[in-house]
Amino acid sequence: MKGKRFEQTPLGGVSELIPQADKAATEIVNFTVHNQTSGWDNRIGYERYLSSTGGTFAPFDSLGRIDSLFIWSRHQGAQQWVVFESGGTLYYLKDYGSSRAIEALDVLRTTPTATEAPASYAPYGRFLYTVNGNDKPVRYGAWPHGGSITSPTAPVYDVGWASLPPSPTPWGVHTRPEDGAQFGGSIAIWARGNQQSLAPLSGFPFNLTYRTLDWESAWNAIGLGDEKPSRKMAEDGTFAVAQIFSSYRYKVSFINNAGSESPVSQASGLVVWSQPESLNIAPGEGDVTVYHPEFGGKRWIVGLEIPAGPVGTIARKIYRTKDLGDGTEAAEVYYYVGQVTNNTETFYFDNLGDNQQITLAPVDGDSTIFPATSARFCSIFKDCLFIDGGSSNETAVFWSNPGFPDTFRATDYADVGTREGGGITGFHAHYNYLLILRQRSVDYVSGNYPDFRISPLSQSVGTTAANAINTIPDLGVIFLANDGVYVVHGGFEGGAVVEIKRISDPIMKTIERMNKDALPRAVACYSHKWKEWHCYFAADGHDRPNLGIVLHLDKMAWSVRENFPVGALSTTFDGDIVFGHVEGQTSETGQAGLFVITGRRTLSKKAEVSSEAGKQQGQIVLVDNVAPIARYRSKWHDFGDPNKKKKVHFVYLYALTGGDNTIPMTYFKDYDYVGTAAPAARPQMPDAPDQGIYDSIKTDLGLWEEERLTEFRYPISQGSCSNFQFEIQTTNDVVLVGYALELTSPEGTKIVQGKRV
Amino acid sequence: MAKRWTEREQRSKNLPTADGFNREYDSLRGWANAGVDRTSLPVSAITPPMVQQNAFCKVFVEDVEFGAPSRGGSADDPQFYGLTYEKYFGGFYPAVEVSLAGLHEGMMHLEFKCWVALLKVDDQMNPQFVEFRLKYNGQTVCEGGPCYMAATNYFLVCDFPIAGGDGTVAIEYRVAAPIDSTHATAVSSTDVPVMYYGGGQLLAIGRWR
Repeated sequence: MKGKRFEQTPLGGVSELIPQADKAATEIVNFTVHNQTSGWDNRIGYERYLSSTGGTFAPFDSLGRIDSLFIWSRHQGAQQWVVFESGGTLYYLKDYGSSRAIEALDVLRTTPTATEAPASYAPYGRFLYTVNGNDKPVRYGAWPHGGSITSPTAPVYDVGWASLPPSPTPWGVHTRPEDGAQFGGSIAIWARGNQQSLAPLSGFPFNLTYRTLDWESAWNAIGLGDEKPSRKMAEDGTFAVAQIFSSYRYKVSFINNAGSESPVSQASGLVVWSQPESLNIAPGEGDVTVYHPEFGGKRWIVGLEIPAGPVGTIARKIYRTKDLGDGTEAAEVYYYVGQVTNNTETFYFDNLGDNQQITLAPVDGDSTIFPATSARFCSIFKDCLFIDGGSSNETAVFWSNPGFPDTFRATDYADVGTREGGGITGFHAHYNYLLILRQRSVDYVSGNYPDFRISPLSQSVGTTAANAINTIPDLGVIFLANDGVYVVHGGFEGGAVVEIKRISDPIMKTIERMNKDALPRAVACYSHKWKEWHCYFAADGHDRPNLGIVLHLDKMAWSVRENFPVGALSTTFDGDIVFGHVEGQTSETGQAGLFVITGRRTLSKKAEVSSEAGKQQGQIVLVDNVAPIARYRSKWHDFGDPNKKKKVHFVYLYALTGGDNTIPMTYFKDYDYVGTAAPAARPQMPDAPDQGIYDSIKTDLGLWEEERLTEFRYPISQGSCSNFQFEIQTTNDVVLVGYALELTSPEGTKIVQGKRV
Repeated sequence: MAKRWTEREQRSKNLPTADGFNREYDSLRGWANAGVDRTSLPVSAITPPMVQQNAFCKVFVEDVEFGAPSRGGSADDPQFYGLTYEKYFGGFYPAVEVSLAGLHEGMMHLEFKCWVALLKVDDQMNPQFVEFRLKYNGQTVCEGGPCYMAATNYFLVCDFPIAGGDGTVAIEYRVAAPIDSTHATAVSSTDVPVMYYGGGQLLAIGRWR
């Protein structure tokens, strides 16, 4: 045929612009890039995350929508902890031991609304920090478990400190051995001596209200305060000198298992004692006094009741003033005394000399109670945990001490609300800056602790999609905004220039289908295995994600994913894309729980057994569902001049041979909605013997086949047209490498005159 | 915890291509071969008959006999060492060492049992006791309390993590010395048996990670 041949290879991505770019397509649905040919391959699907759990979706069968999902990889991927939220419960997947199960980490949580961002996760060190804007932030330690081996308890702790520690309670110091039970709860304990020399002690009624110490000779150089003299009564019953007092106050703080120190408590009551003095043991009946000169020049020891901390506390620190004399003689400056390295003992004997107190206690502002209990977003940047102030304080940013995500200084916060831009809608740390997403702007944090600086990056781009922001290596940060997908690349230091650019223009029509109110529930992830960025959002008025867009890094081209029920998204250490079902057990297929995007084509669904050998009628089993429908619709070809009428005679698909499953084609002319079906073709080489196929060959005989690049010709019969388009839509496997159109263009045939009124 | 999911699925009427088959088969093979991973195996996928002996553990059973201290002696030749001797050698006396070769990193389970019979009191009516302990590569891993029974069975059981390589379990004992009626702290000159020992056996199970 003396026609022109018009080739399109390699194939590009979707272009919804008018006119369309060369090699672009109008629609590419459910395809991935075929690495060997750089063509489009539809051999994708999804399967259960736990593929070995028999004929059910166990242990997820009863779960509804998965609201959020985070796969926390530790030890170079040797441990992967799957943490997810569903129905108001935060779970982890117990993926080891004799049976797989989902275990609740936190219950009675608020289920996020359709327009509210679900939980935000930030791993740091041994812990995973989770906030969701409504409930108590959670710190999860994964491993090792607490409790017994047979019934372990998940290591879940509070984030930060919910309150100040209670003040410690010092016991009184009793300096006169003659005083007995009326000083209940007190006992004289003193230094610079030995027990034998303090014989009067032995006459005391010891019972449970008293505590004492066995004396160690090494303690002779210790004790509180100075060695003040005792006071002797003169014969006339008076004292020559005034009473000599010693007094102290105490504070405590807690240390948790993440190394964070709590705020210090309020000061204890004053513990005050006077030096021993003569005692008139028979007042009014003569001058009978007793006096123990050996009690002069002693130091003293204080018994201190200390509070136990919340779960996760592993030590308590004790601080004390130096000698305050009568309680007012000196300023209350607190110094470190000691650390109790457990959370069980409640009594501490303080024998530290004042001259051994060196280290100052933290001041009140060094560590405060957790500043934002309703934080919605969190991220780790420069070793600090960044959180927002919650919906009631939505422009505030708080950051923790570096290395201690539970310790917040009172002065470590900033408010971005002084600029237009709306509330904070998410964080993302990248390179040497932290992006702060806001409703109508994007800010960033740079610098180092404690000198973080917050600056605006863009005041024209904003988003509420907190979970649709990722880092793509070598490309930068990619995120879904209200009006498209943006990439931020470059840096802020060393002369680098940062640039923010919209890259979703080719799929503008698809983006416009997005339900912007439901953007906070949009989810995205980047997979280094697939070299794809996936983003799923609610479209066409849906209240939950029902449409996906995929950026293929190999081609820097877009495609679309349909009928992948993605509600929450994360990737494993190996780059497999794991998603939580968007509907769960109530879905039409009964699919529930976690799934992985893989090469599996037939997706499982629940079905009742009607009659099958070995199965009970009515039993629920999993059966194969249909594979995802893949659709490739070419661009509208005008062949350079739409004024000229053309006759397209054939479409040649360049594809890899695939067997006997047919590939149907429909073709269209001149932007028409309804097309004409061409005879379906089998992806076999037309002029060669058929390659063997499953169901009819024996794999142990002969050669293994290979896929061959071939052309399948589809005849077109539609008369002349200005623009031409074709579409293949199939659930069968196809690898599309390119195509060619063969056409003739009769001279002189032009489009007709424009329509008149 | 590398999981393996379907890389490629061979479908009815498709070409049985080598590449496609490999990708599907490799995934399956990975489950049972190099990538064997207890978390990706179906529950109860491996049953005991499938596993080579000693693949996951190694068991040692050793009879432990030693020259049991039975009699007092003289000051020059005390025969054995007791707590209250003037010639005090540090309490525990190494009785016997058992070598455990070819261990891997994992957990070690030790069980030691024996029977002992004591001269329950000496001639001063002071109570007598015996005490055993186990050491693994020089570190005490299990120490029993003093046992005052006249005749009893003695058990020590412990579990602890070990590194790979060879190990040595040392069994040590101490026993109260007989006290001479005339010399409270001297070696007894009476030739009276103070302890009988027998039936010693050490069970060691190394369980690998």
